[in-house]
Amino acid sequence: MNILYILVPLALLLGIFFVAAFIWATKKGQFDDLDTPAARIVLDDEICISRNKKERKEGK
Amino acid sequence: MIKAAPQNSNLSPRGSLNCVHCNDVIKFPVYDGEKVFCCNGCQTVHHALEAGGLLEYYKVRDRLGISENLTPQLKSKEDFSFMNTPQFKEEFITSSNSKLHLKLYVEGIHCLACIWLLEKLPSINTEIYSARINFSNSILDVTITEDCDLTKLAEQISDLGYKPHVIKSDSEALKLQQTEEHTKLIRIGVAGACSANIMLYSIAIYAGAGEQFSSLFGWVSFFLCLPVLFYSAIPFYQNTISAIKTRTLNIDIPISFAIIIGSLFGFYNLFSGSKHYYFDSLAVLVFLLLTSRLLVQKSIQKGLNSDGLASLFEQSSIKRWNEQTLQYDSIHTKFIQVGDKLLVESKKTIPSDGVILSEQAYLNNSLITGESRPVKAKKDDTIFAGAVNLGEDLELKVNKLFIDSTLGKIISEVENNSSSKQRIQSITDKISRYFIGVVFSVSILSFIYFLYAFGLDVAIERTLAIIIVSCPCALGLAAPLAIARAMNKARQNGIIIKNDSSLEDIARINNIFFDKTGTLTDGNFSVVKVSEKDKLNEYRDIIYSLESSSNHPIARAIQDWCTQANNIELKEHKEIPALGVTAKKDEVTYSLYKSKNLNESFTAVDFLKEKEVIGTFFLTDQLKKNSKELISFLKETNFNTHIVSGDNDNAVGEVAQELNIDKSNLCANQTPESKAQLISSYKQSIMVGDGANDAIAMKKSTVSIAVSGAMDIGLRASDIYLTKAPLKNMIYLIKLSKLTNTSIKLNLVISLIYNLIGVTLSLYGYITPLGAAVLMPLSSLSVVVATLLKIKGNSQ
Repeated sequence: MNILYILVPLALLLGIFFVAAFIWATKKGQFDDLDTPAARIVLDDEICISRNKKERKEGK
Repeated sequence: MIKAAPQNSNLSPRGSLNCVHCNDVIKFPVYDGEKVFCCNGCQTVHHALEAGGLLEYYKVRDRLGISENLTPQLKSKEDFSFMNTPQFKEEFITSSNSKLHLKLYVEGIHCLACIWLLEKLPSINTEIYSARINFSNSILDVTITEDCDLTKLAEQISDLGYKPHVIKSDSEALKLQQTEEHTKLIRIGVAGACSANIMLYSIAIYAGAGEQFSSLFGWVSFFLCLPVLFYSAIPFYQNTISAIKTRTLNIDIPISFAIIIGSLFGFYNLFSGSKHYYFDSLAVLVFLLLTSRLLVQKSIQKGLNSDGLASLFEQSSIKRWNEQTLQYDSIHTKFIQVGDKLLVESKKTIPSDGVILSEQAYLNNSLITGESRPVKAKKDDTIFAGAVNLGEDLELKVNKLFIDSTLGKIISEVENNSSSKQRIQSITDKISRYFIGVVFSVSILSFIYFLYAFGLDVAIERTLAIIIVSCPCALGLAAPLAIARAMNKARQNGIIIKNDSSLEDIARINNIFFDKTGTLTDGNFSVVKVSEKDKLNEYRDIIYSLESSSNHPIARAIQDWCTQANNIELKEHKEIPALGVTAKKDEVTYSLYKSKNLNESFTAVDFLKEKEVIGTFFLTDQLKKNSKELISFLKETNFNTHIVSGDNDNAVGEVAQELNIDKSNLCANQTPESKAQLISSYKQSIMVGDGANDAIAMKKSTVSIAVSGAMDIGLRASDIYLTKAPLKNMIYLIKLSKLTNTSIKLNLVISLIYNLIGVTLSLYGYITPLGAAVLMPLSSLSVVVATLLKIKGNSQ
């Protein structure tokens, strides 16, 4: 069980790293607008699909 | 008809003709080459899409399956030429990272296809680099070139069927608000991470970790608990301190108390070697409470953006006489100065108080006075900001700026008065007062008992256990959870709630006050009764043509009555002020004159052939569609319904009779101030209204609800704003409020039962650390589940 003396600090360090990452992301404004990016990614896909189809058709 | 329909017009399966743009069934087709539209609005948007090469919009829309609200709301073309003035550019364009930004609040964004379309703006306008939409507050942020033609940009947006409003972003206030939100999120994040980690070690302890590890894990969880105690939990301490300062009680007091006592006890046990640490419970408590509060706050913020609203009133353009060029320039209303000569076009709002320079004008003053009838004003009369010009274009000379005008003063009074509201103490606060009392007395009594029976050590341990077990977690969660859930439901039905406690209050208030004009009635004239209908029908075309040149609201109402009439040519057409119109056809004089038989509740207009009266039109302000339904619902639910109105006795009486409202509950001829006085004479009241003449009264009432009308003023003054189908949704709102209240009570009962069990068990010394750890999240969980089950369903 002595391995715990290494694993526990390691786990804590990992935890600290993620909290730091979260703080950084928040301060960068990643969570300011939660609705639009979610919508945007759907839209971009739609357009890519339709464009790809066009290109494929043209290619043929 | 089907033959006439071109191939690519959307023939629906049922065989009706559908609009190319909005897919609606067409009533009055507008043909344009091979395409058919239902209205000019759709045609304009379609052309704009075609010109910009954005016809892909239809594909995007179809794929997303969007089928609602597609018809653009183009009411009138706005003049955006003011946007190119240097004065405007200096005021509204901001620069950040060496890029120029312009922020616009765009009215009419409702779906994903709208985002797609507006973010495609750079592809049709080469003068802008990028366009980003924030879907949740409808704000479009465009980066522009230095010499960008802003007028063109605004016109393009307007052509696509949206209505742009310029926003001046107060960057410092915005930054401050943003930092505050970030801090809140970080507090939750830290609490979440720490509590999850503490849990890991606590489970090991509960599962029976050996002596050596349990003290190590104890120390680890102690250190993990520190950021929660000294960072995440700060808001609770702040609220407690301010509550103590103002000598009020709120739920944060027992919460802070539990946090502090619990951590001290845990720390003491850490040294004394006992395994009762409680750090896990405390951290989870803080995390859950912060999260539930954030949820409530987020649901308030959605659909409500004060930045956008603040600027709405000064959005529109106005024409100002330019002495140098001797013509009218379009400027932003913000730049109006005293002494300016303005031209207010028909159907536009007067931007500031001033003196009329035109010969005469018809105005709708209902925003300020509540009087529904159009008011006539002569040359040199003073007119007030907020009035709508119903007649022809009028000229006026500004003598007061908007902030000094009557309307401006009402608005500033409303804003300064925001703290003068009567509030009902929330049920949670009431219960938490008893809660604190009971927990304190039980613990003191048990301390004394255990001290004599078992000695000091046991006494301290058991007493502290009681305080911690009776942790007010579920109690603190009960109300915010129910309210957040109900507010989400409300938002789906177009109800914007600004003040979260008002949802709780509605169901507990008995007196409800309605404004008449614009709230219960349409606020527009319409023909409600005609005498000699058949005879009048014969002269339909003549009546229509007589009124066709007049811009008077009564004339328009009569025109509406003449459905399917044709405009025919009349001779010697004359408009006689204050009387009516007259004209000749085939040497016979026809006229529409104000009736001599005065009838106070109706406005009557006679139709005369030579001098013989053929028939009479009776016009009045009509009741809204769901008024009756709402009032009878209120009666069933034991509300005491009142009407307060600036209108005269007869008009109010007529409405009250139709709605079956008690005569003693009517108040006519009220000024905004007397309305407010009346409202404050009641201890608890709901005020339902629109417009500025209700704004002060709204502020004085316990809960204020704004329906329709001017969104900006309504929202500034009121707690709740109903955006669509207001009267129908009010029934839903009241039901929702009742449901919220029962749900809160249910949650409180659940949490009290848990506390009762917990305290009893710990009194007898049965509560183990594991038991406490299971009981706590279980009580929170059951509150969450109860809320979700209780509040569901939509207005239909």
